[in-house]
Amino acid sequence: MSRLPLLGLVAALGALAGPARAQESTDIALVAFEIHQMYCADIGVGEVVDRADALVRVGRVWGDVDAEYQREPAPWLLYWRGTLAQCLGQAEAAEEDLARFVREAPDDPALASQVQDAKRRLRLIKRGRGGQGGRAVRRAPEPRPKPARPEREPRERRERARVEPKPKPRPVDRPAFEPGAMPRLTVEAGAALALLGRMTESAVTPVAEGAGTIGVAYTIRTPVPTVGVGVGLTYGNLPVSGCDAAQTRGQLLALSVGPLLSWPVSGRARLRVRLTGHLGALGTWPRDAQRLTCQEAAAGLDDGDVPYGARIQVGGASARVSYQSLGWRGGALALGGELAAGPLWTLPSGTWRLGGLLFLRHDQLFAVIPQDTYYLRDESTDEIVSFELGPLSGAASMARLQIGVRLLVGF
Amino acid sequence: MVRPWLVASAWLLVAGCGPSDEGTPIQSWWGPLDSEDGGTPFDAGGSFEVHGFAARTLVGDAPQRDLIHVALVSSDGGATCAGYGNYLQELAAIQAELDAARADEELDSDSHDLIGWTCQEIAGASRRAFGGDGSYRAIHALLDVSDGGPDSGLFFLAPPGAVPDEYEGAELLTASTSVWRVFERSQHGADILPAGASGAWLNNDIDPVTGCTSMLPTLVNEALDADTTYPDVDGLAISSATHRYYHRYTSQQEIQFDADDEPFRVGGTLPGWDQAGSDRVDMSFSIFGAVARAPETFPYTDALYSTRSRTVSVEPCDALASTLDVLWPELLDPAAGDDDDSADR
Repeated sequence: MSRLPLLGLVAALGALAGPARAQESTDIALVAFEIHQMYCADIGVGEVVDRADALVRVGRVWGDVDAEYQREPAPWLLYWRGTLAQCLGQAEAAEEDLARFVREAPDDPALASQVQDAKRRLRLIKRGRGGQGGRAVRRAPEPRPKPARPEREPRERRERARVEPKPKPRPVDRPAFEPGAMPRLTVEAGAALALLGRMTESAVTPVAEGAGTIGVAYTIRTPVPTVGVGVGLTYGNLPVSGCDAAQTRGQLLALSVGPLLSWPVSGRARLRVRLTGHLGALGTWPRDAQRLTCQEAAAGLDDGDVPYGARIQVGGASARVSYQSLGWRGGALALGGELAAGPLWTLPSGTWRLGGLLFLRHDQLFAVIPQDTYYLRDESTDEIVSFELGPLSGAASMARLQIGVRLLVGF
Repeated sequence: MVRPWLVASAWLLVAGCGPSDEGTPIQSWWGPLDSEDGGTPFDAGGSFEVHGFAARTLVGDAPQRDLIHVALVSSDGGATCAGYGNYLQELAAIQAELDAARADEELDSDSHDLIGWTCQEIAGASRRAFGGDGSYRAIHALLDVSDGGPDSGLFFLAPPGAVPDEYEGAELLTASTSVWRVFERSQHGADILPAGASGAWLNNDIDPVTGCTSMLPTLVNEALDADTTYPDVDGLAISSATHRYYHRYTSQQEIQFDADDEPFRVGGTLPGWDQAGSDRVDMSFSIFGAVARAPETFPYTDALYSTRSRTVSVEPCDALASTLDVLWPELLDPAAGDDDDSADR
C-alpha cells in the first residue's frame, strides 16, 4: 500500500472530526509532540476502538503538519511528519522524511537531539523494527491466532525464573493530562439576564433582571472522542416572585446531567456544546432591604394589582394572586434545561483550559404551597371564587429564562 | 495563609444570615393588676425590640382634635415605616371590602368565601410586611395635643369610662392624655410570657396566623349583633389579624421595677412631642394592656410594657395618619361598642 492513500484516509478521518490547523509551525510541532507522546504508544497495541481513535487523531495531526510544511517548510516539521508517519506504520514515508530531515537540518544545536533521534529511527526502520516500542510496524490488524498451549519450559529455566527477579515493566509515559481530550472537571461562573413576566390585568410584559451562576461539572468520557456526558452541580442566584410588587432573590442549587459534544477547531481550541437537564431546590428569604424595596414598590400599586404572582384561572374566573397570599414561605422545586456552547482553549502550560460559554437556560420553579383552599377575586366580575391548591402545583409555578455567558476553567 | 476564595465563600455563606437592624428592647411583665396595691407584683416576662413611628394628624369635625399616632412595631424581620404603612393600608382596603359587603347585607358568619379571601389577603399582607409567617407585635398610642400638649411631655393614661370592666379605647381620649393598644399577631404573649406560663390554655388559644378563619365568623357576628364589650368591634380586618391588649388605666402614677431603680412614670413621655411626626423624637413609656380573647385558663389578665430607662427613637411616618380608622375605628365613631357592657375575658 502506498503511503499517500492511507495517510490521506486518516487525515480525512481527522478532518471529519474537525480541522486542526495550527497557525504557527512551532505550535503545530508542539501539538505533534503532544499527540505523539499521548497516542503513539497505543497504535497497534490497544483495543480496536482505542487504536482507531489514535489513528484518527495522529493522522489528523500528520495532516496538519503536512499542510503546514507545504505552507512553510520548516525543517522540524519534516522531523515531525516523519515521526508521525512512523507512528502510523508508514515506514517508507517515515524513512523518506527523516532521511531528508537529517540531510537538510541546519547545523543548529536546538535541532541536535532531533537529528540524533531521526538517525536512530532510520536505523530502526532499516532493521524493519521501526514502530513504537518495536511493535507498530504492523500494517494492518491481523486476526489473532488461537493461543497455543505453551510448551513446558525446561526445568532449569523454570527454576532460574524462580530465583531471578522479574524485570520491572517499562513505565509507560501516559501523560496525566490529555490535550486533545475533554477536561474531566470544569468550574464555571457567569452572569445572565433572567427574563420573566410582569403581569397586568390582561397581559404580561417581559422584564429582565440580573442573575448569576457558579458551578462545577464532571465529564464522563465516552468511546466516541467528541461525545461526553456532563454531570454538574450549579448554584444560581436569580429573581423570583417572593414579593408581589418586586422580585426577590432566589438561591438555587441544582444537579444537572446531559450530553456534551466537543469538536476541535484548531490546534488548541475546541468547540463545546452541552445540553443538560437539571433538577434542584430553590429558596428565597427576603431580607430587610429586599422587603423594603418590595414595600416601597407596593406603595405605588393600585388596589388589587399583583404584578408578580400567579395568574390563577378557575372555571371562567381569573385573577392574579400573590405567592404570599398562597402561603408561600419561599421554597420551590426547580426543573429545567440548558443549552450552552462555546470555545475551550488549552493553555500553553498544558494543564489548564480556559473557555467561555453562551447559554440559554430555562427554570420552571414550582412553589411549595401548603395544601389548602384558596380564594381569588375575579378581575372582571369581582366575584370571590375558591380553589384548591397544593405543593408543586403547576398553577403556582414561575418560569425563568436566562440568557448569559460563563467563564470556564477546565483541568 | 488565608485563601481569598475561601474568604469569599465564607462571606457568601454568612451573608444574609446577619442580624437585622435592631430596635429598642421593651420589657414585659404579666399579672393581675389588682392583685396588690403598689409595687410591681407582676411576673417578669420577656422582651422584644421595637422600631418607632409617628404621625400627627387632625381628626373629626369642628372642633378638630390634634392627635399624635405612635406605633412601636416588632417583628423578626424588622419593621419599616413603608412596610408597616403598606400593611395598614392593605388592611384598610380589606376593611373597606368587608364594610361594603356589610352595607350590602352580604356579610355574615356563613360568608365562607369572603371570610376565606379576607384571611388569605391578611396573611399575604402580613408576610409581605414582616417576613416569615407574618407574625408581629405592635404597641400603638394616641396622644391628644389639642390643648397644646403637656409641657412636661408626659401623657398620662386616659382615665376609664363609666363601666370599669369594659375594654376601652380611643373614646376615652382627652386633652394631654394617651390611650394605648397592643396588637399581637401570634398566640397570646408568644415568646414573652414568664417562665412556667405555658399550660393547657395554649391548646385553646387561637393563633391569628393560622386561625383567622376561626376567629372572623365570631367577630362578624359580634359586629352585626353589637353584642360586645370591645371598642373596635367594627375593625374586623385588624381584629381577625391580631389579638389585642386594650387600654388599661391605673391610678398609680409611678411604677418601680427594682428597689434600686428610680420609679418610672406610668404613661408615655415625649419631651419633644411637638416635633413628632415631622422629626425624630425620643419616647419612653410604661403602660398596661388588658388581655382580651384569651382562653379562660390563661393565667394573666394584664400585661405591663416598659422601656424602663431607655428611649425609643420615633421616626415620622405619614402612613399612620391615614390608617387611624383601621386600628381605632371607635375614634371617629365613638358609639361603636357601647351597646353592651358584659365582660368577655
